[in-house]
Amino acid sequence: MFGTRGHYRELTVAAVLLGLVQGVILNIAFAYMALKLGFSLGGSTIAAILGYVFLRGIYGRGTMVENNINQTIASGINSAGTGVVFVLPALFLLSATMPITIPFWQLLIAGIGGAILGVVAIIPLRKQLIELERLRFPTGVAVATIIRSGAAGTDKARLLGIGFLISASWKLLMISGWLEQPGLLEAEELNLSFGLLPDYIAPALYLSTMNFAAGLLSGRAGLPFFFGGILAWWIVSPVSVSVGWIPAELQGAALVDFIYGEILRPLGIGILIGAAFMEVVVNFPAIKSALYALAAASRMASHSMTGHDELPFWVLLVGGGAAIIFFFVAAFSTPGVSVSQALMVAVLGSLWLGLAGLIVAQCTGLTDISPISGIALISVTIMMVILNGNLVAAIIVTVAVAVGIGQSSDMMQDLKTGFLVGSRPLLQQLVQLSISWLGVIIAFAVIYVLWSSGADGQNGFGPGTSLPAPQAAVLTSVIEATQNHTVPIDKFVLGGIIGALLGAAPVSGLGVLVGLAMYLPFSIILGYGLGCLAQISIVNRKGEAFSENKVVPLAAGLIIGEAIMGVGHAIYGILQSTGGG
Amino acid sequence: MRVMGSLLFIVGIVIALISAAKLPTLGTTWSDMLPIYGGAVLLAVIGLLLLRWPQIRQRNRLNTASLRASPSVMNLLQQLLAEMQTLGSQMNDLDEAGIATRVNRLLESYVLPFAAALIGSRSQYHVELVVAVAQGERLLNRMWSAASDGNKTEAIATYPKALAAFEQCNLFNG
Repeated sequence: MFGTRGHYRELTVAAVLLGLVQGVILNIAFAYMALKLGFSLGGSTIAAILGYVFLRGIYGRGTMVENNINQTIASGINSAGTGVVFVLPALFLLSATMPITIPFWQLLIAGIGGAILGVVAIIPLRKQLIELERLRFPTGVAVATIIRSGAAGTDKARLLGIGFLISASWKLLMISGWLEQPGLLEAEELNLSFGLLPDYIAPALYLSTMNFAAGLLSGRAGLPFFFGGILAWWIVSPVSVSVGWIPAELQGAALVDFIYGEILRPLGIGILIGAAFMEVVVNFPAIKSALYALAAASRMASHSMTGHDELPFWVLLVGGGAAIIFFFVAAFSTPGVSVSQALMVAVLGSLWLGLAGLIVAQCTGLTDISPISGIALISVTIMMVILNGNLVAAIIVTVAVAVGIGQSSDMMQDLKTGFLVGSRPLLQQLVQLSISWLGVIIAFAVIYVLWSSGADGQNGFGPGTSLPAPQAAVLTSVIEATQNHTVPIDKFVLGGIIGALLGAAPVSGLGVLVGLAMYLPFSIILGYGLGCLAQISIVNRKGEAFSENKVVPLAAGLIIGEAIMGVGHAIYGILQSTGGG
Repeated sequence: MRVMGSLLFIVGIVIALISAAKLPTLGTTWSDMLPIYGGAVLLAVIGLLLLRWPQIRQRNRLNTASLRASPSVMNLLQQLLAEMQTLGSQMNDLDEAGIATRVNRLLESYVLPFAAALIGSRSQYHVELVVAVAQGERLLNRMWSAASDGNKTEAIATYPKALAAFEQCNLFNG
């Protein structure tokens, strides 16, 4: 038995060391993967499985809450790297064509400040998002299912295993490309047009079991996301084409790219921001109560039975203040930035980071999808406007924001897992705050090394190389659009107003979900929506208890299987790249 | 009023989205669909007000009258407290697996349905109630984890904290 001698193992040296080692390895692997594929993974699921193997299997003393600490540390380090790899490579790419000196230390300071602020800004909202709104956080639930699987009965463990095998096998099949058929199945997307349906309704399905499983875990709560996608691609898109708002010469993929890039994606970003802002306003009484509860708990901790359950309020204030100072120092020490601009960057950057952190945490809680790259795009646009086109300073703030929002969503996922296994939030918050900076440094080093591995010590990644860095390429194009004054301000503003209206509607998360649906390709939404509909159908026929006991472990297995196979593929890619030069 | 509000809101949002899709001509910031967009937004605002109006009236009534949760929901809490007290008196005689089974039953039969019934309310009273329930739920989860890990001492030590959290819910209602 584990921890039977009275003391219940939770924050232990073994958990911290294992979390650190796993976090560093995952950070390196996923930074590489993000440069190659354009997306990353959280790493919580892998860390939890390995935690189970090492802490309980090999070390022989691990407990569930101890494993929760291990995966909190590992995913905290990994997710800090995700924010860096979505933004920093853009500066390297631009430095190849523009006379830019990369301000290494300022970027690092801003990244670390962002990591701290991302954690301290979201902690006060734990009660709001996890306890009051009871958001699903599908990956958080999946990780809790892994951690509890050994003790939750063989039936649930078997379902988890079945889900894992199905998903891992399917992912392997997709990666291998054996099923690929030009025009029918390409890049894991099934074309549903069959030569009959027009391209502008995006008739494609992303064949991801993880995507379907996220829908299975969300159920009815995820339906607005599905309807948002239908509204975008089956109503707005066909109407725009039929009334002649789209250039007639565009056909096929070019037409879809135009509708997505020029209309739906910018509108979606506007809706996301407007909705998040309005949800803060609408939920203000509840958020105020949650904050009050946190502050009161902080004061009463010494008299209560449970002691401190959350990081004390003053720690959050000090952390927030320190992060703002980090921002100011990073911005002010950048050439061409005045004191007033640095002050504005520090204050507005921090406020924006807090709001963006809430947006991403809500999106993750509702759908498991975190729009970090979209937020990075809007951040760089806003900051370039505020800073009179100072590109380097804008990237510095954007790095901080991207790292911060990654930390916010990861912290919430881990706290959800912690809630389900009964961990003390204080310890999770403490470890995340203590280690998140490490992920920033590792990701910086990885990017620097990969960039320097190219000819003449540069161009190691980017278009035309084996690491195309798609997110950075998109960010670069947005920066160029901002410099050329072609930012779609109308779409951001009009979308923002619609988002505010949706955010004020009496349906939880409606605005954020519709915005996210317009921001993402429809093939992803369709798979997720089918998962939601399947879960609703199962609940109607078999009941809520069946769904919780059978569907949740199976869906958790589906998520884990794809994640593990994806990581395996990334590691294989690294080995192949280093072996093959 | 609710159906009419929903209808106006949905129609307004759809028209606003379609009109927002038109790209402005070169050299301008806004497209010529802006007046239609404005009208659609107005329609959606009216729909939203009609949707929200019953809620606002109900909230006012609640603020001036009783803030209590429904009797059936509070019955769940009373049954939970009774079951928890029984568990407390028997816990020393149960083994770890027995404790985990009993805690799981408490969660599935009382706590989760109780919490589900309170979701969505934004009144001050319900916020405090839900936060207290969530605290108790997390502590029951800890009891389950500790018992499943074979640590009976931790499960027993956590029990009074969980009980105190649910008793606090009762105080809110009393």
